[in-house]
Amino acid sequence: MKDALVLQSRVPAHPDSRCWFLAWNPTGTLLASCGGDRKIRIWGTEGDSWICKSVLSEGHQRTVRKVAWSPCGNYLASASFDATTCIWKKNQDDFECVTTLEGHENEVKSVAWAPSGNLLATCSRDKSVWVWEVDEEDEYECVSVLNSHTQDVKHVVWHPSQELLASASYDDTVKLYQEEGDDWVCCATLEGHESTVWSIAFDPSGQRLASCSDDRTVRIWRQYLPGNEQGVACSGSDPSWKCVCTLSGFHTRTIYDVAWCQLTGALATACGDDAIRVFEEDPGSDPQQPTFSLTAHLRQAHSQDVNCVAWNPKEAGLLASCSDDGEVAFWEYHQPAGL
Amino acid sequence: MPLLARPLRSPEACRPYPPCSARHKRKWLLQSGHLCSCLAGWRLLHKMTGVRGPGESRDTAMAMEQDIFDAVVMADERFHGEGYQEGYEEGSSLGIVEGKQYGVLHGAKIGSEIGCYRGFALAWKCLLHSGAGEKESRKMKVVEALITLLQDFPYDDPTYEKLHEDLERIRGKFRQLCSLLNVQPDFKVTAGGSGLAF
Repeated sequence: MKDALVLQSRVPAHPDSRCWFLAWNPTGTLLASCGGDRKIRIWGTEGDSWICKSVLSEGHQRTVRKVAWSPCGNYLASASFDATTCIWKKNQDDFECVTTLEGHENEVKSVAWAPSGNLLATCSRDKSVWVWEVDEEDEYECVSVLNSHTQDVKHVVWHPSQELLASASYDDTVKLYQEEGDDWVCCATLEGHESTVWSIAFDPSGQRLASCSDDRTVRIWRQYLPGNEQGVACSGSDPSWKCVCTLSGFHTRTIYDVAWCQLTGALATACGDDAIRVFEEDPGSDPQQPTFSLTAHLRQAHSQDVNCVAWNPKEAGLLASCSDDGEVAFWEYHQPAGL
Repeated sequence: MPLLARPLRSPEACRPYPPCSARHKRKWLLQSGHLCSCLAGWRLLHKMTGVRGPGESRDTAMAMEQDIFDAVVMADERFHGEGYQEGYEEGSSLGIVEGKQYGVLHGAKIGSEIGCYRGFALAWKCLLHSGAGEKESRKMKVVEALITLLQDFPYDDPTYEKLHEDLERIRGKFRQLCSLLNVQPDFKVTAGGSGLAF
């Protein structure tokens, strides 16, 4: 487990502030970071070092909580505590704010693009999840406002290939939504966590979802289609989701983020105890009851809470993390021998 | 009456209380300082009810005395029971009054909110009718969807289990419509029924 995570580089991305979230562009060449200084920074490599390519400072009045790249890589969406979501268009190294989405009553906590790039989801402290549709003229129209959660909604993510949306909330649940007729509806509620669910991530196939929580556990949920061989009950034609694995006892504080590498399937977590951990599924473990092993544990990865971990989508093993200390760190993860 | 050689535990010390017997309780009362006051009560009752008349046998009188004594000793439990019943009835009636007040207030709030959405939706339906176009058709669809939701909302069935769920759907649809129309949905439904400011 020693040397499984090696520091490649560390940059003071948002000095004197917190760095909240990171997002790799689809080609893995650029990393966007956002923070409490109301700025978004775009990072790229020059030689061996990571340098700031652009700063997006005019756009938000308050903390920028999350950023997301469109699947084409030409747009960046940013969710802010000022209740708005900005859409930035990329022209070479420059970014221009082309649209500001308003509608949430207060802090927007997260934003995510659907794999098609035609839909965008946002969520907020106002307990709602909004689905927006993008037309050819870059105009955004709200197609649904979902009030299924009873508390602050922390995070939204889309299924890697389907138009299935997942949201995590302060009400300790994860909810899944899909389109039904002219409207979007909540089609599943994943209950099990004993406290706030901070983040969620789909595995590369989209059949499994990992969620991390204030209860210091990571849960793995698996999708069961109607008529499945395992006899898991489904209501009607909707698939049902069942918790098949709980990783507990590894983390000593709140887990703020979980990232499932789309290339290798390694699962990384960002924790309030300043550490980064990586888990891998044990070879030959039962798909109905998978087991995971801790393959890397880096204590003091940052000097304060780790807020986000993000695997590079093209370069296997390249992990970026950011923290309340305002820094962004780049790590090389080496899968231990024997896995 | 002979005092017992062995001191008894107080009946309250018997857990769970009150399963300890009336007999035990009486013995304890006699043995402890309660003796005098209890005897006084007994004498009073004795006088009032006029038991142990001149012609009665001693055995009968003893039995009667015991019964009366029981009545005195067990008085606290009886009064406790009566008090509980009285309190329960009073609490129930107060609860009904309070529940009714809350229900009226809350129901009026929801009614006012629903009415507001309805007026908003119907007004926009008229406005959108006059300006036809590709862009308007989408808005119209949402207006119609909102009107349908409002029509389906049960106004006279407070026990309808999906009441809250349906209300949240209506609120969501309304906010979606506001977003499409580019108007601010920042009105407040206040207790006074006023305070609408679009």
